Amino acid sequence: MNAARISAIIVKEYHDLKANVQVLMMVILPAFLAVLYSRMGSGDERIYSFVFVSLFSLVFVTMYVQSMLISEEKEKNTLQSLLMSPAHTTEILVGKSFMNVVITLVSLLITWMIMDVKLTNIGVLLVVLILSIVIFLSIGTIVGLISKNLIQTGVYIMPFMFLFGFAPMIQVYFSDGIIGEIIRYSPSVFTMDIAVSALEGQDFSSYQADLLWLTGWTIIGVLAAYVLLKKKSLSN
Amino acid sequence: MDYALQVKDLSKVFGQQQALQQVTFHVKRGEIFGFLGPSGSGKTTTVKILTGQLLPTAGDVTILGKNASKMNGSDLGRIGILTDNSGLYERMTINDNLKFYAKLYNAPAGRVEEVLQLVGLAEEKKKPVKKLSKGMKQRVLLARAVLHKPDVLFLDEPTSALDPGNVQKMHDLLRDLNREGTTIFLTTHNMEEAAQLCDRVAFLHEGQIREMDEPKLLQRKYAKNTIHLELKDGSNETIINDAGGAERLYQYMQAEEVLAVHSDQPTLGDIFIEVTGRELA
Ligand SMILES: Nc1ncnc2c1ncn2[C@@H]1O[C@H](COP(=O)(O)OP(=O)(O)OP(=O)(O)O)[C@@H](O)[C@H]1O
Ligand SMILES: [Mg+2]
Repeated sequence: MNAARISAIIVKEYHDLKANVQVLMMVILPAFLAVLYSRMGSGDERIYSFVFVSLFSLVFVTMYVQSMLISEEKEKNTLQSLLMSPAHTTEILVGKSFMNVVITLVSLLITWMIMDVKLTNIGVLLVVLILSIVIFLSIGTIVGLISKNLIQTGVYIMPFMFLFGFAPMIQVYFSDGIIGEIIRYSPSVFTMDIAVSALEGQDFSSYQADLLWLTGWTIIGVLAAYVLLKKKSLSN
Repeated sequence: MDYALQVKDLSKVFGQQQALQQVTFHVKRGEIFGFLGPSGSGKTTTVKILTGQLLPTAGDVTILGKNASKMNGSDLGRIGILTDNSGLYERMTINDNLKFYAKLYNAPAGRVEEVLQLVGLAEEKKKPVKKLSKGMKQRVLLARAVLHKPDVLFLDEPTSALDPGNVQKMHDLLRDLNREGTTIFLTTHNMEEAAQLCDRVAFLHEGQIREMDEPKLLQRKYAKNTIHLELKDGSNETIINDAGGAERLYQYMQAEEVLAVHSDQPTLGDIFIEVTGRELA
């Protein structure tokens, strides 16, 4: 990995995002939700709402924005230029994700400040934050890469947003059936469960299996995104 | 011999379509090589294969001594590409675009200003790319392709969107770059451009190379052995360049009837038609 090239991509991304109104709008969305939810509930319910709104940030900012940014690079043929440059696939992935991570963190910070939840088990929270950011970045990247253009990305990303954004809720409604059983293994449910447990101060043993699952998902996601991007340097 | 490109028995099939068929050619280091052919003849396909963006169905393709499909980051840093799938960041200014690529290719910082001057866009450098005309975008893309003074430069119809003034500027830029050692592989269906710029040209037709040589030598090879006379009475006469013809010419000249004499130097376009039976455009 070459730091100069990564920082070049990050600076480029910054210049580009500055002028990207659509993306900047997405960042504000979770803040609205946070304001709404901050007026409801107390105690455990509040923790649940906070994690839910945070998950919303991860899905609507991290994953959705990433899919749009990657798709746009593809549609405008700048991705091909990146792939034909000395930059390595990893450098492109890291550079392309960095600003998005910053935006996500800002959005989460705003959510936290509005909802004012006391953080406990910060180590675990950090781990789950990193894992979930990476998995949602990967899924966004994959969707952006497999769809033909921005419009198609907008369509393909919908079910993922719905599934991941609302999985914890869907799971509550379908808790007994096969649907609930499947959704239980979605990365967003693992993220939610671990974060809630950690905030409620539960024992590590109660969510270590979830953490393992989430780690597994993350590794699979990163590998898939990497392989797909590498293959894209061949235009056929 | 030091070759920049070596292509041997290259074939490419898309589904049912044979896009390239047993294409063989070599480009020496420092050469400007023109790949000429009508639309659909396989020019872009060749460029994509040479730059590793497309895999050949059969054949060997070597660039700077390396298999084209196995280029790594530092190999890619030695080539420059301008094709119809080259893009720019539309929301960013010309300057920010070029500065980005300069860093990516580790080109010296002052080089951006230099190429902006060369393509005549120094005044406009603060404009966002989305506000540029097609020809201006084309010039930014060219500027980007030459930022790092590549060892091999691929240009797929680089001047198709440009006006004559800018075409001239572009040609000067390419000649200068070539003088500094860049090998240039250029596709075009502009015969005049090829004749002016290229050390050698290949005629591509339906995926096959039909003829390949220096423009001068091709013109000599396909020169017809005839001379055209324009006579004062308004008529034209074509005579063969031999003793009989000399006799005729002598007679006309004696009678002071000759207005003009034209030799029969074919243009590259004429030769292309003769070789392939097809117009180039
Ligand atoms: N990805 C592809 N899939 C299927 N067929 C293709 C593909 N790319 C090119 N072809 C076909 O291969 C042939 C050569 O195409 P190519 O783009 O190389 O032509 P060209 O000489 O660059 O033409 P032009 O001057 O119009 O750019 C065409 O018949 C085209 O339809
Ligand atoms: Mg073409």
